[in-house]
Amino acid sequence: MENLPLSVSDCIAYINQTLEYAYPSVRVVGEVSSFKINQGKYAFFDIKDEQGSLNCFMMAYQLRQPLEDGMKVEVIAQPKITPWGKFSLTVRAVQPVGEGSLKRAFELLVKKLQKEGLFAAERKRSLPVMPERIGVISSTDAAGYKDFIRILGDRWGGMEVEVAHVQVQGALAPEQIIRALDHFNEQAEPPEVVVVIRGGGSVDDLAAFNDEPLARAIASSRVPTLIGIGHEVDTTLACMVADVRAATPSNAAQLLVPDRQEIIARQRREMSRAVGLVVRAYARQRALAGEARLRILAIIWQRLAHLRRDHHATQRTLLELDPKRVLSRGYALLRGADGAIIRGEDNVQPGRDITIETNNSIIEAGVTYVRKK
Amino acid sequence: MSAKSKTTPLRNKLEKLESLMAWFESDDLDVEEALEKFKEADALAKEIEEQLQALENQVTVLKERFDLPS
Repeated sequence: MENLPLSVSDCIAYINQTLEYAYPSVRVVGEVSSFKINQGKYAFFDIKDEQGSLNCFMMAYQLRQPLEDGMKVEVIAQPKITPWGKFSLTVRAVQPVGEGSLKRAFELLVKKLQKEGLFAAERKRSLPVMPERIGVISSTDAAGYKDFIRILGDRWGGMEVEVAHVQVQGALAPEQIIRALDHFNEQAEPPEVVVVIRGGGSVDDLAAFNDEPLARAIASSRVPTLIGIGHEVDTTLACMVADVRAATPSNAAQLLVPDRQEIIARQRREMSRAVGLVVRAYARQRALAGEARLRILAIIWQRLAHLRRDHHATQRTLLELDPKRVLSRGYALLRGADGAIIRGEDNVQPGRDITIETNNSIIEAGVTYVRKK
Repeated sequence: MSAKSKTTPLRNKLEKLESLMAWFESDDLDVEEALEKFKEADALAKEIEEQLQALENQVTVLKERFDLPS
């Protein structure tokens, strides 16, 4: 081989063969510089450190997040010499490394999606008040999932809950969540809401929810989305594009369904209030004859009796209304000859016969003198 | 539409009770009518309470695997 001269292309080919054999894949960490995308399809950049620099090439669609000069990244690439003799790394995968770069990549992505209007308030749909069919995307091993299901069941019932078990952290999570979202969206009868759940954890574990394709999948979901992934500090892209975001899985259950105990308690309060209003109306209507009044009073008394156990306030009202109680306090009921109860304003003439009902006796009496107080 | 809506009748009952409660807020209630309405509201509230307590969710974990490309 050393005797015969090689053509230029053959030389490049042989060297590339050797490179491919010796270095099929290298992982390189460095800083991005001179990043550009040509014709919307081809991405070029240099990766460098203080002393050296390597040229990188990749297809733009392979970028899972935007890159910027100055970002520290890790590339997985294959070294080769281009037909024009340029030494270049063909990049298969690139990701930002280090807090600064991660943060910057995140900021760029937020800007990008915001510009596309994916966070707009007008896009957000509200959730049904009493859903009957919901889809849940979560890891069934996670504490967050168990909390969600438990609180959901405490608060409400009668729902069909379909659960898609996926990973919710790690590099494989975004694709799995996307597949689960697609599954629910493509059902013949899709659920009314899809809930994405993940329990608490360190910030890094939320990386899956900053994945661009996942954020887009959530944004384009036909089924309204509720996300509850328990982050403490910063929010995630997934949270920003979802229709409704909850602080935690438990909060998600609270946002999704009403609380039946609260409804029951409120109902009882309102019933008590209604009782009060009826009694007030009764008190106002003086046109009623005495017997009718007592009859109504007795009916109200009966009605209130079953509420008695539940409310102290109602109990007080009951006691106050109980005719026997009133009489035992020393009051008496005065009736005229016709049996009608005499109220203070009624015209009572001296010489009339009246009956006086106390708590334990009926007294027949006659009026001798009437004096206004 | 799904096979049988479990909560539509419940929703209707809740709305009916709500409108009954609103009626009680009006001025000059006629006592006789009020008692009738109260009887109705009372029965409705009881039904609602029983129904609410009885509701239970049906949770199914899908058999499909999402870790493999479809």
